[in-house]
Amino acid sequence: MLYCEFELGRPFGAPNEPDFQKRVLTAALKLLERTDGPILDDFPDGPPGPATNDEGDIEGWSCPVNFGDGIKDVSVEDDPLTALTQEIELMRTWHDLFLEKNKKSTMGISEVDFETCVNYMVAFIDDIDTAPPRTDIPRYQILKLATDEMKAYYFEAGLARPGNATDKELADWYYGETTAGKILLKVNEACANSGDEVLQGMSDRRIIPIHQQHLKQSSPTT
Amino acid sequence: MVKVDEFPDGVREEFLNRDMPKFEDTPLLEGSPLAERRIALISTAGLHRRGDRAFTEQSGDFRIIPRDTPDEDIVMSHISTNFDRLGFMQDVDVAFPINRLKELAEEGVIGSVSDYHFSFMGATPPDKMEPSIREIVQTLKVDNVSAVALCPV
Repeated sequence: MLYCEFELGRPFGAPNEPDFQKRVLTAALKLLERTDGPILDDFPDGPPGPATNDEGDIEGWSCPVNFGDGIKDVSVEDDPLTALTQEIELMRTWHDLFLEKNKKSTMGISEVDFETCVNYMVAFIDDIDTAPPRTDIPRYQILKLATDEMKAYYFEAGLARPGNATDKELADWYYGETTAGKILLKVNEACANSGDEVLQGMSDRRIIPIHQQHLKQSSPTT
Repeated sequence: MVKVDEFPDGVREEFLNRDMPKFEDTPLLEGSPLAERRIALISTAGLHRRGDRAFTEQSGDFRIIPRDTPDEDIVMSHISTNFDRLGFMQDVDVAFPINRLKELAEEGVIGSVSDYHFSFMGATPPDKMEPSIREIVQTLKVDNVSAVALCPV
């Protein structure tokens, strides 16, 4: 086994760093030539990447949407669907830039169009028995995939913004500052109060990640 | 990979208290040189081809990713929200180094790349994966694969 001290989710170090990735892979494969096991070797280097500030966050990234201009003053409490939809539209330019740069998207895993996913999540908040957009898979699964679609859209849009945001920075923004984050907290609360054991299990940390759990306590809806 | 003592509270205790399999020995066999080996990747990142079935929690089943699947058609439905996905959004090789493996074959570092590669949903108990692993082993033998790179996420 080759131990690499990289961030969870990046077992080969960093994106778009082919030489580094190949070094990691080669180091792991070279272990096959040894018979002096058990083997637990350390990879000597950390991942390449931009300089970080003293707190470990990469500097220079900022919220990719100016929520203050040109949008209707709609409260997520009064009209969550409109509030979310107009925020998504504001993000679209950045998401288009991501697609242009990367020639791909990780969206599409639900096999349901994004608008339908959004509508379902918002409807689920008021009525967990809202007809799901897919009936060939369990309700919890299509709900989870819908939340993943929205996260992918926002995170990919955030990546298009200059500044090399970290996962934690984008998560702090997404869960803590956006309308989408407020919607997710409401979806999470609906799961927690559903009386459905599987949905309640999802509300533990399948919708809101561990490092954002504090938002559950501070949410006005809880 | 993150060290156990750096896990968040609760998760650390959960992992330390898991009933892990115990092995009587740790045999390592001398095999053919790396430059002669045919290699497959096995990931636990919940990867699959676009349009294939998304993973469900703690399912022990697997998905097949053929060698020449375009990068843009490899997607992730791992159920966890607790690891970085920004890297994968930009570059599939950060979690599933299929292009790097092909390059190593072209450079003669390894012998060749398997026709088929495999992915599981991580955080699944090993005993649930065992039937799938036995099935995969049969496929690997037919494809003359002589080594696998296990790629946890």
